[in-house]
Amino acid sequence: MNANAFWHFLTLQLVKERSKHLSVILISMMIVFLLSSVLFISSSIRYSLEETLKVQPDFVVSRTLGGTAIPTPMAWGDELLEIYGVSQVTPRVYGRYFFEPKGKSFLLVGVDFMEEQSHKNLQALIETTDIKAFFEGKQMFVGQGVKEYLNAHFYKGSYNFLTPKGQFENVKFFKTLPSQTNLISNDMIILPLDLARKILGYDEEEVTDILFNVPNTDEWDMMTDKLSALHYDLHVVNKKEVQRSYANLYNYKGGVFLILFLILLATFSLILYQRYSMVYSSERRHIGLLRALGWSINAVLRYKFTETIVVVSVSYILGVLLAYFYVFVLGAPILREIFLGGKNLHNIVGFLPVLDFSVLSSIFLIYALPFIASVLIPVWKVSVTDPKEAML
Amino acid sequence: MIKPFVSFVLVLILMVFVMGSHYLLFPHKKTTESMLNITSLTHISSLSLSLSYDESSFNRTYPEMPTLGKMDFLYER
Repeated sequence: MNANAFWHFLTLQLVKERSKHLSVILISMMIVFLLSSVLFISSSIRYSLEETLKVQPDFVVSRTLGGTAIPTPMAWGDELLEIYGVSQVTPRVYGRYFFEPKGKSFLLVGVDFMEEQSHKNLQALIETTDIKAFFEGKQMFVGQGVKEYLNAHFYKGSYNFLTPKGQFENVKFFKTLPSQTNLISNDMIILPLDLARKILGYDEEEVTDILFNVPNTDEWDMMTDKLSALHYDLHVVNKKEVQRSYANLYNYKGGVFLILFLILLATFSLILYQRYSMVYSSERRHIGLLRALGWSINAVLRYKFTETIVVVSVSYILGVLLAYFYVFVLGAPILREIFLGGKNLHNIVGFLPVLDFSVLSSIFLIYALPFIASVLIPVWKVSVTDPKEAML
Repeated sequence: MIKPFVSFVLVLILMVFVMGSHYLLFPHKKTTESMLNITSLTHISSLSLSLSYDESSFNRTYPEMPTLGKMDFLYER
């Protein structure tokens, strides 16, 4: 049979038996869609985190008491500066502010807007920011989730923070943070450093933790030991540990889905195998008929292999396309809550499209090989029997 | 190849093309830069996780005791 006639026969058969193939394509497409969606979300979040971690300082130092973080003295910053190899020491003031006791909460971050670098970053983030207008009174930048939540609770232009001393601090909304940063800033409120200290209850000489850089990575382990010896209640975390914990978290979540996928795939392959190896199935009769018409075993196998490849490819392409649309266009409703949670503020995240071709090809191989095997093995078994027997 | 199959393949190719265009035209640089700017400004790179209030770190009945969910005090010498 020449190639043209073969393809004509194959496509004719595919279209004629479309209802039979459609059910297989739909189930396979759903399996590929689910797995691809999870891996797309996971790889997009991991990529964003890796990128942002690049600009994060190398070390974080905080004070602990009985394993719980307590305010860190500012004076530690000066001690750190005296260590050879340490640069860019930056104090950080942040903490959670509960809108209602044990209920919804926001992340309050204090920023020293007097610093030139903070100015530049702010201008780059929100181009139309007039920093002079920002300093006229108590004002704040709010994330999209915070803005939405406070608006829904009738705080249209400002919010009254209750400080630990029992005083109210009325702070106006200045600007909303860009939606592209929602992955990080959805529940964030950015305030001037002193105001953040007041609301969170820190003294003037206290900060949440202190960040610094050690440009020579070979010194990192030695630096950890040196810092631990500085104060008995000092807790050190370096960037590598943060990177590792993020990777573990998202590998774990992606891994759980991979296991579920493998279970699902094994079940599906079993169903397919069962279907193609049924004694009186139409498939069996069809193969017997082809053999009786003079088709060789090789030609039958080639025909069935090509047919399966077409079904596998179509369902794979449709599954991946659907997953792409669901994750990167719709923002993965429901599934994103597995990764980002959904109990605090409503998270409106737009995931950065990241296509990891090694992951995509792995999905194809893991999915296609058992699928093809579960069809070709019974087909081969039928095609080697006598055509008369096969058609019975 | 018969006509309906060819049309179906063309539709598939068109869909792949639309996906590719979305991927290529997405403002990757602008989005990444915004994320980098907010991280540089706040020095915070952790995700904005939407988690509920975590009670596990407090024991409401005996505040001086570890939480009931934590078993490490049992194994402490």
